[in-house]
Amino acid sequence: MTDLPAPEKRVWLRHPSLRIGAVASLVFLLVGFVSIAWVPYPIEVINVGAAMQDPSPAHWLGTDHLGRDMLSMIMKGTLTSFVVAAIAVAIGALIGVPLGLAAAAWGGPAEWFILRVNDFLFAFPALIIAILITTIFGPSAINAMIAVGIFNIPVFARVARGGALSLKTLDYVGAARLAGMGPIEIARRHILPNIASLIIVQATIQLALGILAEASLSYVGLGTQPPATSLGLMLKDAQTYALLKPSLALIPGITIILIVVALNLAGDGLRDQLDPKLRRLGGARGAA
Amino acid sequence: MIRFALTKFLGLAATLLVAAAITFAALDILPGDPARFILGINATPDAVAALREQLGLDAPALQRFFGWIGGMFVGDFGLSYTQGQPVGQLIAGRLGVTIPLTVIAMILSAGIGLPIGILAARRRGSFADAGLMVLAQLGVAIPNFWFGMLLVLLFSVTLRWLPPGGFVPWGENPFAAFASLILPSIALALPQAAILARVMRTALVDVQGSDYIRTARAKGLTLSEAVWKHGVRNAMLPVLTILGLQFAYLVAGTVIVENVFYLPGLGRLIFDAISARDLILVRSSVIILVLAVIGTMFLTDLAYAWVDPRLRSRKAE
Amino acid sequence: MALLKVDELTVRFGGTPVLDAVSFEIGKGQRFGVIGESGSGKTMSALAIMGLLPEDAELSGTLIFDREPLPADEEARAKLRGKRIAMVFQEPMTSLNPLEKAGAQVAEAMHLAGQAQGDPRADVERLFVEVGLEPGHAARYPHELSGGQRQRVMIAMALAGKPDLLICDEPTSALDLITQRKVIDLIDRICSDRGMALMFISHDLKAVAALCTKIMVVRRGKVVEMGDKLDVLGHPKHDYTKLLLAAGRHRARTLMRAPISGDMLVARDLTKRFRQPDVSIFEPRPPLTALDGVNFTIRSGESLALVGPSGSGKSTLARIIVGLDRATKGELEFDHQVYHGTDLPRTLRRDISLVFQDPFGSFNPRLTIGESVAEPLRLEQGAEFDELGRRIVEVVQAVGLSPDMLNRFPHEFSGGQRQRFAIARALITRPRLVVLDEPVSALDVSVRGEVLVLLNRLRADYGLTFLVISHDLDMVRIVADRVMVMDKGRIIETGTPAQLLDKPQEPLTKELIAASLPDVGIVPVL
Repeated sequence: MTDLPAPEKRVWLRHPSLRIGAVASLVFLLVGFVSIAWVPYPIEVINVGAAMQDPSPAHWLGTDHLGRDMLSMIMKGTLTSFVVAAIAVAIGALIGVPLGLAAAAWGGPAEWFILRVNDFLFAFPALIIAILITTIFGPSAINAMIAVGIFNIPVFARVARGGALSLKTLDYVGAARLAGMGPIEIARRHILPNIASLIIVQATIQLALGILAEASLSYVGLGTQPPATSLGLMLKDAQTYALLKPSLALIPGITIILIVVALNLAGDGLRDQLDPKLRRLGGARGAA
Repeated sequence: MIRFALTKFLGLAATLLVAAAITFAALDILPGDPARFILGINATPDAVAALREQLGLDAPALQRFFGWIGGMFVGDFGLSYTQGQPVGQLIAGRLGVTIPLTVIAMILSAGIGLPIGILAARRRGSFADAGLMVLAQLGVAIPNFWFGMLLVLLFSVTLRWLPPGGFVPWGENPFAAFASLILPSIALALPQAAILARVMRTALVDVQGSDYIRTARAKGLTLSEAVWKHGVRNAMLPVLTILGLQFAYLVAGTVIVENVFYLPGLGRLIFDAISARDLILVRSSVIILVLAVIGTMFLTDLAYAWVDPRLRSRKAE
Repeated sequence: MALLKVDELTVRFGGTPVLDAVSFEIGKGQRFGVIGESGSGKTMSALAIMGLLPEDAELSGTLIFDREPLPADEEARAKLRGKRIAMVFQEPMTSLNPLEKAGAQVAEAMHLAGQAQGDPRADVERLFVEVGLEPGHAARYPHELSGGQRQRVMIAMALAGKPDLLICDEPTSALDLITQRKVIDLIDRICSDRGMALMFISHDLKAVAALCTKIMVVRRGKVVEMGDKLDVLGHPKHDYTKLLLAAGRHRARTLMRAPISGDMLVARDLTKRFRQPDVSIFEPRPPLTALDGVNFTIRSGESLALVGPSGSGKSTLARIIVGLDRATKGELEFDHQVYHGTDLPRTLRRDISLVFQDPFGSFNPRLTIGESVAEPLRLEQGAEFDELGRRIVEVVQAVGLSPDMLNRFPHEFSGGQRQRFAIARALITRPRLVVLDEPVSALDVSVRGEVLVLLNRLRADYGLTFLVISHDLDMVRIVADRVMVMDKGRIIETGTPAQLLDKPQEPLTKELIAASLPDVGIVPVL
């Protein structure tokens, strides 16, 4: 038994930007995961004698100011960036989605309160949250995750609430209530599956934003700390040497751009796919 | 309209108070005693206690909180215990950098993003549209600090047109001061312009498919006339929301960009304060940032109500 | 000489034709009606004439207006729109610019058509009066006007350019019954006064019959029948036209019914107030009273109809009875148990069920039809698994469908089939009282009749008690033993259908009955 009817599945694969974005994102993710098991050179080993080499068969992307292999650094950095952004998305979604659903389900004072908290969090961009957290607990990748994650909460809450509100008035939710289902059961069986696509789209977009945010935080020293590395941290190191060797700044920068573009393409493609107008057309065709 | 504004203003004040409380509480539970931090590990307990009293740290938390809030109303933000200067004075000195930087960036991003979005929407499906949207896609993905580094490499190091960083005070040489803000504001504005272009395009494309544009055409307007007369104002509604949110990002972005260009703005002040554990300075600067963000959202709400009669009407039938 | 001549008009989207070689003519001052169900392509014919087709539409065929072919160029076409050909659209809620005052939007239309002589405000006021609005409405924004008022603004806008041809695309289908009639009368009057040609597009046979002299019936993009009103409605040649006519005047067989006996549900002083969101904290708004002290009784075995204009509280009452909402005051008694709405005891929930109005929104698109239909069975605690399986099969067969459809998804079924499944879901717990909220109004005219026949049969077979909510008086005549009329949250009149429909007492009831258009044609033989 399939979840989706067949025609939708074919369209899914036909969308070019979705296909390109999804494939590229997966490639970067794969590169990141490979770095757990294997990198060309260990990045903990400093070899100042081999610093700032140009790309060569031994070092495909050259070496940095400490003689570390840039390709290895990029692989490890990609993993860190993904992990930080993904955990931040998970924090945002796991807290934000239930909050949004609760706001939609209960309405009244509960909704008012959740919306105000939401507005409030919007007033603190991730960076300000990060500054506060860092001042208290000191800089680290974990704190960067938490800061970006907190900032993600209102985003997911809003998406979930919006989706749930538009579904709440639909009669099948009423029918489920008549069948004696409670709000949690209804959310699980009727609301979540139907807003899952919206949430996935948002998660893709927030993942891209998270990678950018991690880069910013690490760049100003509030995120990932050495000896671990991330794409943002590589840029921080590169700033000093950018005049001598611009490729130290270009390579991680372009990597960030490529990852973010790939994720955004996938997100945009997915959203086009799920655009209600397009879907309605598909639905009408299915019924005919 | 006035009532609408007043209601929103009360909301703003409440949000700000909560923000202040959270900031205060967060920094107050900070492990480590500022007095000990200032005096060093070898200080005698008596000296620490004396300094605590001098800094007012021995008072109950609630009293200190309201002392801080009340002080801010009369412009007294307290005394920075690392720099020995009034915090208000320190912050005021830095605003001369941060405010122009934000405003120029905002003007740039709207001035670049909106026309591009409108152009792309009007030529939807054309080569120009596709090209502009590819650029926007890239613009959204570029980290602003990295873009700043590239700008410095190109315009300062290679072409030597503009200073690579640092800041000449306005009083000394206004032109040089402005020149040192050009690259930072471009770096700040570009990703935001890309976002605005995308939002503007989507909003206008949505509006073009709306029923009232069809009605306007049925009255005798061509599609482009209908979009100009009826569409653009409607499309501005989502754009306004994003503009308000963008300001928050710009304010946060200054913190980063000031680091790239070694600008003595509010962002740098905060960083220095964090590394020095200067709590009074951190919390007041953070509140100033939050005030800027919330204040902009308030203005966005007003602008929204000014454009959309549905928000300011009393009859909500 | 015809004013508009359409020849072999074909409109395709991505190769699929939605209009297929349609040809017709509209003479000067003629009233031309187009009948068809949703998706038949009738709206596309109007948009093609206006030059307002969506960008991705491919058009072929010739359109000749006043002896000249209609120009393809947008600018030349725009000069004809409003001035020579004007159009009123279906959705009054979204067709006006929400940011501009109604008067300004009408004034713009006048200006564009070169009709603005002298004082524009006086001109707008004159038009507003002509379409039955007050001059003061000109200063209002669209959201401050009701649906009927907005549609009048749309008509004023269409009249502003003194067009030769007025196209109306389902102008009343989003309005309630009484407003519908008023708008139809308005269109009738202005067409006579101005000697304007009319192209009236509708799925409502009676409205077309009341307004038009020539009728075209469209189905799946093709013209199935065209001719004078009397011929088409009096002697329909095509089976589809016959079906439409039969559906429009459904006559249900009288069946054996369970005897009507004691009281099943009693409502005492039911009141429901909704808190309205305050405009601001300085301007709290009083609660909206949806139900205002409602008292009535449903007897076991009867079919009680509840009629009234939109906003009269009918649906709120239904939602409280089935337990989706809670009354602010008053109580309900079912089977000697008192409840107030949402506190309906779980043991009684299986005895009261609801059939929703919209068959498209009442099934979760991600679940199979079978999963949705079986959902209420969770109320049947202690029943054997096999027994429940038998129940599903039985109930699906009872509504005339096959059990092997149960593994399919909702989008694979038509509206009529879905509504049958919705009825099956309502019957699966073997309820005693079934509340039906506008059970056929979202369905195409041609399938309404069969669903009503099904409902009457089920009621006889299972000895059900019905509470039917409807604004369709013809339907009430067929399915109800007794009728209650509701207005502004109160029940204003009760009686048998014959009593109420033939000798209404209350003004609102009279208005409702006067609003229904006369029957059309002779009884067709299928």
